[in-house]
Amino acid sequence: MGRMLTIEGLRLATRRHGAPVELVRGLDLSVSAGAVTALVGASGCGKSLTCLGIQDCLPSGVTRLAGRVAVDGQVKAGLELRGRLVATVMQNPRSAFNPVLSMRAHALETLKAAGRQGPDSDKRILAAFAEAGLDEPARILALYPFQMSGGMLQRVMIALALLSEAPFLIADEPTTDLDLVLQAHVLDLIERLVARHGLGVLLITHDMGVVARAARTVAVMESGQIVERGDVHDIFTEPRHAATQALVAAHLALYPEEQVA
Amino acid sequence: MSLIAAEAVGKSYRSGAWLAAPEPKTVLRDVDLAIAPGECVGLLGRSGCGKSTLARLLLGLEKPDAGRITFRGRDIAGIGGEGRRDFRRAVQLVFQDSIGAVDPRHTVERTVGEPLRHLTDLDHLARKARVAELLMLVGLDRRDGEKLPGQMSGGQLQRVCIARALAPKPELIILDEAVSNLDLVLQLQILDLLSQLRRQLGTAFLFITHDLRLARRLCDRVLVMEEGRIVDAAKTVAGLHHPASRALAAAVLPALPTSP
Repeated sequence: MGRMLTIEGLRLATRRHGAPVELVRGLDLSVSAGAVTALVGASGCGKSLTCLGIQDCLPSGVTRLAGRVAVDGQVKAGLELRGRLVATVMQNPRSAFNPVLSMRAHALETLKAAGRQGPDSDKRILAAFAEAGLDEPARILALYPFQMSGGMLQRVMIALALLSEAPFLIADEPTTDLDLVLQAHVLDLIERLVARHGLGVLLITHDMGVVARAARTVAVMESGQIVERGDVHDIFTEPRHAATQALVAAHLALYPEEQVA
Repeated sequence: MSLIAAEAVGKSYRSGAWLAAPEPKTVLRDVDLAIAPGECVGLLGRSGCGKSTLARLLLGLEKPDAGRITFRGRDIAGIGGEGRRDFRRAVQLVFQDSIGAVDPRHTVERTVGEPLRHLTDLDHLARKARVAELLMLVGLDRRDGEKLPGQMSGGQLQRVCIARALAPKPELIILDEAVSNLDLVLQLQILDLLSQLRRQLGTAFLFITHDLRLARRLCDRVLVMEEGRIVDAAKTVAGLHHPASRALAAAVLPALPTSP
C-alpha cells in the first residue's frame, strides 16, 4: 500500500469586472491511503473549489492557473483521475443522480467507465450495495432516486465509489444534509472502508465534530490557502492559527464543559 | 395562557402512484404542544419524523385532520379578518433554505420590508427606518439593504430572513432547521443573536432541529418526536430518556478526537 495523492501549487482563479481574482492561492496537500485527511474551513474559503480543481471539473468562469496532481509521484490529468483513481461523494446526493435512471443503471455506468462490465456485474453491484450498508440490495437495484431517502442515496453514492475501485475518495460535506443519526452511519461506513480497503479519503467539512470523529490529519483553509495543518489531536489541543482557533472554539462552545476538559 | 397550542393534532397525506389507490400516510398522531409567551422550546427528531409538518400546522399553512391549533385560546381555523392579520403578525418563521426563502430579484430592503407592507400601517419612510433598524439588530449594515440576495453569503442571507421574521414584532418565531446549512462559526453567531433578541424583545421561539448540541445551547425545554408522536419531553437535553432521544444523543459528534 502506501499510495499517495499529492496536490502541488494548485491555483484557481476567476475574473470579476475584468480583473482576475484568485480563489485558491497555491495549495499543497497530500492524501495518503488508509487514512482520512480532513480539509476544513469556513464557508467560502475555497474547500469545495479545491475538490473540483483536483479533478479538473471546475465550474465555467473558473480556471486553473497552475498546479499538478500526482498519484504515487506520477502526474495525472483530470480525466485519468476522475472516477478511476479518485471517486467523489458530494453534499447533495439527490442532485448527483440522474432522476430517470435506476440505481442499477447508475452502477452499470460506473462499471462500464471503469472497464469492468461483465456477466457478473449484477453480483458485484449487489455486493457493493451490501457493503455500503444498504438493506435489501436486490430491491434497491430497481429503484429510482425519487423513491429513496437522502441517507440511502448517499450510501449508493459510496457503493458506486466502491465499484469503481478507485484508491482515493473525495467526500465533499458528505453528511451535511443528513440528520445526526444518518451522519453517524455514513461516517462509520467511511471509516470501515478506510480500514478494510485502505481507501485514502479527503474529507471536506466545516464541522469540527466530523473531524474529531473521523480524521487523522487536518488541513485548515482560509481565503484560498492552507493556514495550518497537523495531526487531529494537535489541531484540537493546540490550534496555532486564528482561523483554526475560531473553528475549534465555536465547536467546543456547543458542548457542556465536562465533555471538553 | 399559552400563546399557541396544538391539541391532539393529527395529519396524514395521501400518496401513491397515479393509477393506484392513494394510501394515506399518517405523519402526525395525537400531538399536544403548548408554547408560553417568551418561551424557547426545542423540537428534536430525525428527518421525516413530522417536525416540519407540525411547524406548518402551527403556522396555519395547512389544516390538521384531527384536533385543533389554538392561538391565545382561539382555534385558528375560526379566526378571520383582522384577527387573522394579528395571528399572521404574531407568528413568523425562518426556514433552513435561506436562498429559496427570498425572491432573488428583490433587494434586501424590499424583502425585509415586505411583512411591514402587508401587516402594519407604517408608511414608506417609517418602513425604511424600521428596515434599517432591523438590519442593524441582526448585525448587518444599513447599506446591505441595497444588495440583492445573490450578492450575499448564506449566513448573511439567513440574517436577512431573521430580520424579516422580526419585522412585524412577532411573539413567536418558528425556526425550522434555521441554522443547519451554516458553518459552525455562523451557527454560533446566529444562536447568540437569537438568545440576545429573546432577552431584548421577549420573543418566544420554537427551535426545530436534529442537532442536540444546538438545542442544549438555546432552549428552556426540549421535546423529541418520533414517527409523528411526541415521545419525550424534558427541561434539558440531559433529562431525556426515550430510546429515540438516546439515539439522537448517541449520534452527537464527539467534542474531541476519539481515534488513538
